[in-house]
Amino acid sequence: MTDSPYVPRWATIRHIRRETPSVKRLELELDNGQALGHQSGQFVEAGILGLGEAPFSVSSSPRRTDSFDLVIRSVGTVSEKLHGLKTGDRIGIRGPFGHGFELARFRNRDVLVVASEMGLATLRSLVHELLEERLLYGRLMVLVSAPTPEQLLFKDELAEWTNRRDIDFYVTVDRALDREWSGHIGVVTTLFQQLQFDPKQTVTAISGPPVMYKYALLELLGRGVAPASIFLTMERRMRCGVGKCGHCQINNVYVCQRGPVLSYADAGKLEEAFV
Amino acid sequence: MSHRVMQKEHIWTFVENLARSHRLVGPVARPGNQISFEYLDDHWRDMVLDYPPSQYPPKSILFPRRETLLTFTINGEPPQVSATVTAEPTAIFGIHACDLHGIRCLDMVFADGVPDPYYHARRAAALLIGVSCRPDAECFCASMGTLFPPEGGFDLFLTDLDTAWLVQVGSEKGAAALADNVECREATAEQIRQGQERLAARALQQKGIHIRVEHLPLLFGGEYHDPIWDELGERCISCGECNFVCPTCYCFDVADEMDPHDSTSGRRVRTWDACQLPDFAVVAGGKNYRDTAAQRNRHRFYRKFLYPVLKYKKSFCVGCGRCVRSCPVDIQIVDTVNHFVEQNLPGGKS
Repeated sequence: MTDSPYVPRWATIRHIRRETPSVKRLELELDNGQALGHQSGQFVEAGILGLGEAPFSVSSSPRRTDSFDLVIRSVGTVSEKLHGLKTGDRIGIRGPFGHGFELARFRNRDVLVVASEMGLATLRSLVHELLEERLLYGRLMVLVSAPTPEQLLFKDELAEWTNRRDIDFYVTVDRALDREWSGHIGVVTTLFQQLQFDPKQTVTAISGPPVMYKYALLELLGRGVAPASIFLTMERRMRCGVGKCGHCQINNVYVCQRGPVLSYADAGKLEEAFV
Repeated sequence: MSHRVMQKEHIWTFVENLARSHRLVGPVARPGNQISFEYLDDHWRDMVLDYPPSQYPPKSILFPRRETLLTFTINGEPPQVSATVTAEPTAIFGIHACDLHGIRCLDMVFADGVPDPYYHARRAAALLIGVSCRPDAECFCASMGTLFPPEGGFDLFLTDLDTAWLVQVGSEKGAAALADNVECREATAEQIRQGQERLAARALQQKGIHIRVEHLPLLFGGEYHDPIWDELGERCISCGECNFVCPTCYCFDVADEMDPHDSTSGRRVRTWDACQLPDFAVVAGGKNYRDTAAQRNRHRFYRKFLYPVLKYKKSFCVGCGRCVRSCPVDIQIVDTVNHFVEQNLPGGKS
């Protein structure tokens, strides 16, 4: 039987870039020039036969169809092995899975993107997509944070975003030595103090470690952003990707099916969402 | 749906004839008063048809505790991967009504969204033959609405009428299996009535939950923060046995294995997993989204009594009592539900 949802497609590593000491960006090309066919915010299962699979957000724009990026932090068996691969090596890809950002709900509105640590790997696809059709949106505000300057992802792109006049771009680090950082210091939510925006006109996309969600939500809800205008990426241990294995469940929601992007209007009702 | 009657002694003719065209699975008695569903093949005479609930449901015949999803070889480019789903015609004999309901639940889960071809192939090749049961002290099927076999969820269902078997025909496939393999007569209205009575009589001695199944979502909607979860969590040793014996639990893990004698070939395997095991909800980096046994117990109850009732309009607890029989610390499913019911009665705590 060929319609097993567990059979991967094959992709070749075209380019590897070290983002931080523990994070690498892989540019991948599917066999036969296939497009991955993803939405911003969706994830894939990337695997190595004999070792297994792990879920990763797709970090490149859906409009880039000849290749796609996965940004991989080395934290487990599969991700460590992926770090050891070379250009030309091949990996198995299943997906994309789940629901990404519904951009129809962003059009003609101001957009606030809040990305902390690996959250930028997830939201980079969204930022790229917004920039590619920049005129369809109002203001674009992007807040980025990392624990240290060394751990900032996509440093080349951040420099470019700083210089663009069509992005209100802010970056911060939790801590830094004087000689390596002249910018803002503090967790990502401290950037909100510098930021004026119209809560009724603004849609937000948030991704980062669980603790950041609590503080970001306090800020946004406190300013009057509607729960239905706050989108978060909820990552769990997505194993099968097809709504069966049970590992990614938040209460009754299979993240691999209804997520990983959920609005706060939905996620806020889930007791297990922000633990 | 038609009813037929089979002479008592013809059951073995039926089994023997079925075994020619099907692999045969049925309940057999094992030491320690355990009943277990096993592949019988030529020793089909070991089958017992009047038996108390088996330790494990027949779930594993359709959804094995360990199964190969893919086989692969990695010595060439591209690697060769194949997903072969093989399912032989299999007659599962002697399934109690509660376990037929359990299979009904799995049918819905594995057909939902992206269908599971592995389960589907086995299910399509299976002939489900139910039998009236002998309940024990932990059974509570009557209150869960699973006293009678589920409509559309079996091929044949046998009820013991002492001198004969009443055979309820649940599908075309069941009708054909019966017609091809054994002599039967049309059941009389009196025999059909007797059969219904026999099945209904099993409800009399049972305990039960004190609420209608369709009202469970209302009840559980308000009990998320009840202190009973902490009480259960303090007793629970997180062994996962309640999940493994449950006819409707379907969570699994997926892992790759290399062939021990050939480093170029291997398989991707799925194995039953259990939401009561401590690391079930751990993500990369180590965070555990259900860190306490209290949270895990609550999740199990909600996955039986609330979430599926909302999604599938069916309780995923079928009242078999296995989780209670197998629990080393006596976590009681019926008492827990009834604790909530009592709290919500006028004059109750909440």
